[in-house]
Amino acid sequence: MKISYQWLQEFVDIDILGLEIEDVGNALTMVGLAVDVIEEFEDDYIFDVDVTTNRVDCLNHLGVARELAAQFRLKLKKPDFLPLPYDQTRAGGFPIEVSIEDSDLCPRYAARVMTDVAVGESPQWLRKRLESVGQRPVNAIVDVTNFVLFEIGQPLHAFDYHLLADSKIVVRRGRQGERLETLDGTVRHLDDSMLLICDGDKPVAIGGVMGGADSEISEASKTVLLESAYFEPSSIRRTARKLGLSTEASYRFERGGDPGLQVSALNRACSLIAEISGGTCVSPVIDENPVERKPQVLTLRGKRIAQVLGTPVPTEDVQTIFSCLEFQPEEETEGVFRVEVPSFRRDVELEADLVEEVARHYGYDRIPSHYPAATGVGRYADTEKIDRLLISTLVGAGFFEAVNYVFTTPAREAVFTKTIPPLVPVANPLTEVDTHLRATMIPGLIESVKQNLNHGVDNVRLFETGRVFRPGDSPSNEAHEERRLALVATGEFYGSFWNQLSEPFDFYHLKGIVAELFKHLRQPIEFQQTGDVPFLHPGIAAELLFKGNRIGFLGSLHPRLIETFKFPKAVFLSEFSLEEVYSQRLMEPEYKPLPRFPSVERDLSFVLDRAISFSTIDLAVQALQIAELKDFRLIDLYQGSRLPQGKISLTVRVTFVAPSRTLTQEEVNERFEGVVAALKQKFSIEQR
Amino acid sequence: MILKALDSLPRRRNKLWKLETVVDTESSSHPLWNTFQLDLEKVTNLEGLTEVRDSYLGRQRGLVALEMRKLGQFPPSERPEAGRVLNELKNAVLKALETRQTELKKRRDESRVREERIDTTLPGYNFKTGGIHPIRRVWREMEDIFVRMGYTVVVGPEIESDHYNFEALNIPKGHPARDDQDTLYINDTLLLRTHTSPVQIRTMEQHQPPLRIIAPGRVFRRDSVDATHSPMFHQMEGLVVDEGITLADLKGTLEVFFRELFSEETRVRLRPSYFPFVEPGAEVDISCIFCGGNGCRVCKRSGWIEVLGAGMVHPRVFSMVGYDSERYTGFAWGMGIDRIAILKYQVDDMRLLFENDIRFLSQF
Repeated sequence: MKISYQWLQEFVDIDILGLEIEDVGNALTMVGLAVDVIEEFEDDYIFDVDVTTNRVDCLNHLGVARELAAQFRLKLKKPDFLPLPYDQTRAGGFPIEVSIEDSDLCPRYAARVMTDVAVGESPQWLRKRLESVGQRPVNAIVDVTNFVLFEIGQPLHAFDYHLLADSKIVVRRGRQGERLETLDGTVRHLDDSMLLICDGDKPVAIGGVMGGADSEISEASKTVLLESAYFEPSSIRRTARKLGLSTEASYRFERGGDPGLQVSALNRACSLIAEISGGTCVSPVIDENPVERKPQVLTLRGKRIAQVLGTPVPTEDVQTIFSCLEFQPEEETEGVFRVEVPSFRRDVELEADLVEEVARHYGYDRIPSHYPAATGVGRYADTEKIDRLLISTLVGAGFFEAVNYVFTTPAREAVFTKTIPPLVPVANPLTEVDTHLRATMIPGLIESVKQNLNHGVDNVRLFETGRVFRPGDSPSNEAHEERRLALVATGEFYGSFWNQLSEPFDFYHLKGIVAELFKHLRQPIEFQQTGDVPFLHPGIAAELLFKGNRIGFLGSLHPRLIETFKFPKAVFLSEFSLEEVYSQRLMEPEYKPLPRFPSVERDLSFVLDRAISFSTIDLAVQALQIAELKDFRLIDLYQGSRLPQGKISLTVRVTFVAPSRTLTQEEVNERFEGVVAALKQKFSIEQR
Repeated sequence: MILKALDSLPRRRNKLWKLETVVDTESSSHPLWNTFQLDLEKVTNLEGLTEVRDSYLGRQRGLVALEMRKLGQFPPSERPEAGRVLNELKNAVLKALETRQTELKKRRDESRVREERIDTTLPGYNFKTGGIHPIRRVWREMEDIFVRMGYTVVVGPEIESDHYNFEALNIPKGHPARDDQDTLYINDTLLLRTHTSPVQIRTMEQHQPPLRIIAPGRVFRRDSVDATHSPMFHQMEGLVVDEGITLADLKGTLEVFFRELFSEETRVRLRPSYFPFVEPGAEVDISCIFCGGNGCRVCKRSGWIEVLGAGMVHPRVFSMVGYDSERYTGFAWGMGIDRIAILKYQVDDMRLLFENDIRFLSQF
């Protein structure tokens, strides 16, 4: 909102304080009218004031001047609102009849007819005022209505009286199928949710939004009907939205405005028109005002001020502040005020609002500072320990944290999978790329990998934590959120180094990292061969089983997608739900005494069918339940031409230890042979 | 015998004791002593020394052992003297070997430190650790400060109901404040939360005062992506409810917080503003963290930087969650985590936060 410094001075003698213009701006800022910029306009300064939505009373110069007057305890000088006399002898020639049919949408409608107006160019002073606040002068009549709008905040409309059928104004809801060409030349389709201003047979304006082109003031206009009305805010808001039309008038009406201002504004406009265009009033002031309004009266307790602000405010200050703001304060009993709220402050509804008025003009900068003592121990969210554990492990493993938008589109999902999972749609997307919510974090991460490769970063390791969404299964649960962790990696595992060769990142690196995460969580995780993740290579994919439930997957990006994205190397990815992990109690470390007796290792090399998965071998060995078996691990794997077709060779290291004694050779041999025998029997291994 | 005695002693004392006791025998009258001395002189390194040791003291073929075996050939009367001489020889050999070994080790170490050289300015191994996102970094810093101040962190869903996101916060349908927070809707009743205030409502519904909470999380607005806007960002909101909580407490709390986050010199300014869920409402500025308030490019010469919105919880919000607003008062504030991150690190384009460019991420 542009506010002219010179214009303000018509209402408050701010100049006598001798302030720098920045100080005036700062004073406005400190009463809640934030001044972003101060610009020069000819010999004037223009404040760009950020007026909050509750302060429609400050969308004009008088309102802003009132705040300045209160801030500096100066007197507010209001314009003259006296009505012009009217020429009763000529009234018969200009009949007018105003009726409000829908007073719920239009509680007040004032109007007056003026004739013999000369519709010409406005005088220089008026043009300057309008131009200083960014308005383009049109003609004297329209300029006066705009001037009054920016001066005191009441939107007015001027009709060409002779273009109104039957000399009638009917305020009513629109009817289906009605149309009106508005001043901007657009034909608007009207309906029964909109309030219309009509003449004897047709709409002539969309109430509070924009007038019609047919009844517009032109240079030929001789007689005008001035409208000064009050409209129901939510109706104006709805209509403006529906028509996609926001005007200076609708902007104010939809924020409330002052239902007590209509006649004053009308009088002000008539006086100005008479002064500028020389017209004569030929009707009385018509004021259809069917809805009774009582002024809001509130009680303010001085002790409540202290209770909320943390400092008492002297009674005299309270009195002065309210007087300056045109609230009528009355100290009923010691420290208790009865305050009558002016009609232009419809935002003030409660005692708390009065406290704010006091605080604003007492000065927020005079509120003391006090640190309230803590009432208990602060706590992180339940998931924080788990998150920090996972994240620190991933960072240690070389992963950078990514943050992707949660938005997606079916088309983008289709790149990754033919069977797109059900997506949660966004009802009012702003662009074509945010029509739905993601069901997986993988597409975002894959695109991030692509971006990095494009920027010349060859080794990419990213992780992301966040939520994915799916439609709910019942009307009471319409959308479901799930917290997940996703990882993606491509490039080298060991970077090439000046004294060392590089090693490409592969499936087992990522698997090791995922396993490490669960090791740190002290929770079990199982990996099982799978082929059903659509964007993974069907032969290089595992599902993650947590306490028997599938929580996610791990694998190599499908060759089809490697081709789509033109990735130079394999890309490995994993995504899993954290919901079940979060629902577990975080396990504390459990100390086991260090072995006091030496452990014994035995290596076993054997050949077997490659179809036999290592996990079955591992499980078979665990199933032997050898108490002294401490570790069974793969230390070498060979598959190549020296072996028969379909065979592989494994070397495992088996470690035995007993807690309370040194195992004898014989004991170790016996147990080791037990392992060998079991493997021979179950998997027909050939020992090498 | 001395050697036997040595073996039975605890290992650690062994060497000390050995040095002291073996010293008494420094030469021998045995004829082998001279040959040994000649051999020892020829030794130039530790390997050579081991050879000499083996040839004289080896258990089977060592010259001393051979002499020992010959003792039986001596007449019984000469045996004790021959044995003593042989023992003397053995001790003298041991002692001489010991001295020589110390000498040779010293010489070896001296030559190592003299000759071994690497270029320590060659690059060290690139361990390639990753890093957390700058948003999380700032989020944690902020969260850690409030937890130290006794706040409990609460979280809630990202898809919210219109009720929790607006109605319960004194923003009924048709309220102009809904324009300020243009909302992405899922349907008529569900939306992507535009702030984390709903979490505060949910917490108040479940807990009676006193309350000291922060609600960090991801929020959404119907905004297009540009250098200063994003349809998705992160917010942290705080709420304190108790008897006797005042606007002065809000000011004091934010001062403590911003001094922790930025520096002891940071000043906090409250100025009136409007948010439907607080009354009185305030916009909070901090003295510019770059110029200290003198005016610079970052603060647009004003000396102040707008960082958050705050205020005293609106009585209507309290009544909707069943709190007695006569007994309890409370303050609430909300700030953008991304905004603080951008400010703190002077990131010139907000889009960088969501592009996952490792060249960017690796700077934090």
